[in-house]
Amino acid sequence: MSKSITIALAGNPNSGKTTLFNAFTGARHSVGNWAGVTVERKEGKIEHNNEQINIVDLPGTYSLSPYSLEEVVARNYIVDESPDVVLNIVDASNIERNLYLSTQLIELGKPVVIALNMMDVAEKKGHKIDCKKLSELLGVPVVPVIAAQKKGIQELLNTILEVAKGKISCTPSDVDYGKEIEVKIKETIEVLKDNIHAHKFNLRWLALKVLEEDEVILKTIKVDLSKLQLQEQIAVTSEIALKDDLGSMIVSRKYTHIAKIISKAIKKPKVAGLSTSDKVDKILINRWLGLPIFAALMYMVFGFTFNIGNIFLDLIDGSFAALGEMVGASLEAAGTAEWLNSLIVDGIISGIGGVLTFVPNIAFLFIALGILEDSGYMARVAFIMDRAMRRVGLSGKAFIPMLMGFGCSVPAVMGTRTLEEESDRLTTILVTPFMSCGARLPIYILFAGVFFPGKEGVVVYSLYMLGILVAVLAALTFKKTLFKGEEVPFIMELPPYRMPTIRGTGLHVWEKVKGYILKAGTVIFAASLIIWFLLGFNLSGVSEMPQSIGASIGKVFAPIFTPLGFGNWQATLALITGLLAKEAVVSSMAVIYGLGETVGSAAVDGDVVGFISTLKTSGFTQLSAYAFMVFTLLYTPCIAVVAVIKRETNSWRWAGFSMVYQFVVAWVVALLVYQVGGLLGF
Amino acid sequence: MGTFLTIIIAVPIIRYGIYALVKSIKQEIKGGCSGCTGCGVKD
Repeated sequence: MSKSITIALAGNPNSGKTTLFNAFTGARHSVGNWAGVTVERKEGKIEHNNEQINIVDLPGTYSLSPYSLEEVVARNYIVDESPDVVLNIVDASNIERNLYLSTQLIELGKPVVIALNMMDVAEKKGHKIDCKKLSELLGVPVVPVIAAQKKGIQELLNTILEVAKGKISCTPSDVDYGKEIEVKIKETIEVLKDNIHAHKFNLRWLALKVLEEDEVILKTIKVDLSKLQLQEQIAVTSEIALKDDLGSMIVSRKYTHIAKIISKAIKKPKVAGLSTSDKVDKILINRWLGLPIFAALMYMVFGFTFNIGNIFLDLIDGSFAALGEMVGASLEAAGTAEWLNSLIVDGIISGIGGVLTFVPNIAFLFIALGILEDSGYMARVAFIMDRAMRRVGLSGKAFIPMLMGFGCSVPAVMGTRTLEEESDRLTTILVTPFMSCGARLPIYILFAGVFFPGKEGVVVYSLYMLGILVAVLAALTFKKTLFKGEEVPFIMELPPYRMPTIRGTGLHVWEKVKGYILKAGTVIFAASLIIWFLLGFNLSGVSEMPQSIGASIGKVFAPIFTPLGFGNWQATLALITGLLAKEAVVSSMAVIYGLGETVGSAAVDGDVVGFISTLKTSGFTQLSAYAFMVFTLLYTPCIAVVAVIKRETNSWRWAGFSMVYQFVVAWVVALLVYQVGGLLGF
Repeated sequence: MGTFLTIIIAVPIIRYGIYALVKSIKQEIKGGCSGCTGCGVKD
């Protein structure tokens, strides 16, 4: 086998890069019918025709201009790492916009292969694409594929190998920028020729970037623009310079070039009237109907999560109860120590069982959210929310990472890389953890089930909506104080409505459920063990629970929560373990309320989540239970989120600040709920 | 026999518990969730 070949996957957001990456590698990375699913490059290895191929999936970008972090990441990778082939994934059904990036990639001077994806969608729209002609006009190979159906993958890989080995040579056609700009390009190339920092760049591309005043490039090659006086000279000579700056003129000429190519290689039917997608959008993203429809859909999501999920709850609960009884009886018969029996039955099985009982609810929540996402609706929510977000100084684009926060706050914080303005990015990073992640759901199901029977769906819905409201209000506060910045115009591509597939949605759900089960087997296992130990012992050895280490820790911090209605050590201890993972709040409660006064004497016989009956009599009222849920909704999601905030902001100060202010916000809102609720007689 | 069995069962459970705790904390400090597999965060 010869030296391995590296290919970089580049393309517009939502062009199917990750789907193609999965088709190549057999991986199951998350794909979504919205922009910004890939914010960090992913790598995979495959073997084709006895050749080792390394595949790097870059974040989706509309251009190679440094407007946002992921565009810089993609560009730097292609320039600095110099992959053997740049595989440009182009959405065949939306070719004009996609070719803008293609022209930039071609100009970079690297070997480019174009994968014309979603050919089926283009054909359905009646687009007839002459791939051979397109290839001739662009000067690079063009291969039609349908990544979702794995069609054309082998042909594509064959072409990539041939280009990498030089068997097919790329003869890219230069964009004609017009006489005045072409003269400037030549002059700039002459100036840059001797620049020692310019050697790794294609000089024509570099000259264009200098003319566009690309700040990152100017810094890299250490060129003082004022010495070149390019703008002034072009302004004198250009007939259209009075209206447009040089950057706009370059963009305009690129689109003229693309339009010429399209007119020669593609035939499109004349569109008469609105498409079905447009007609649906007239209702779903209507100025007045959009928000109420979103609120109604979310209400249906939680109704579905509870009504269907709860059918399975008793079954799983019963299974864990039977398992606990069986293991307990076997250990007793084998004569093992009483503390070990308690550790396994009251600690591990209770803790893990307490969390796994809610797997069906988690699965049904993500089935519902997955269908909304895959259909293309979730991307439209950002558009719907744009008006509200603009009032707080952000754009609807910031709502996309916030929506991702419904799944997990970690990728949601990373998703803020798509935001151009640093102040918008920091604001969104700080408010995204208020969006209720999936890990908090078991807490709501437990407390809503115990204290609000028959109204669980409404209670959980109110918490999700409260999370959005607090996030928006916090964003408003930040934008008026810490992060005053200019408004960035929001231009968003609405993906086409697609029928969700069982495979696609199933994959989403499986990822989440697998993650949840994995957590139960690792961090929840460990948390249950620790809680069991902390509750069974003190510095003198085995102790009664109220005198245990766990109770002592809880009692130190419990007074903080007294004004919120849950100032008991049990709730406090559960909240502390929740910093490890939010599900640990439930597993800790299962152990705390499932244990008797001392290790080995279970408080409740029967079902594993029998701790529920103890929880009912633990001093929580409906109001304090709701305040507890509000607090868990708003305080720091977990250590991983703090760490990812540190990584994304490159500052421990912001990470620490996020922890402290989230705690303060959680405390204040829970206090308001409890005290005002009390005054209103709840 | 009971004591022997207790040791045989307890030691791997406690060892795994410590391992799971250390691994989870290490992973979370890097900004990676101990359970999530879908967001592309590297270990």
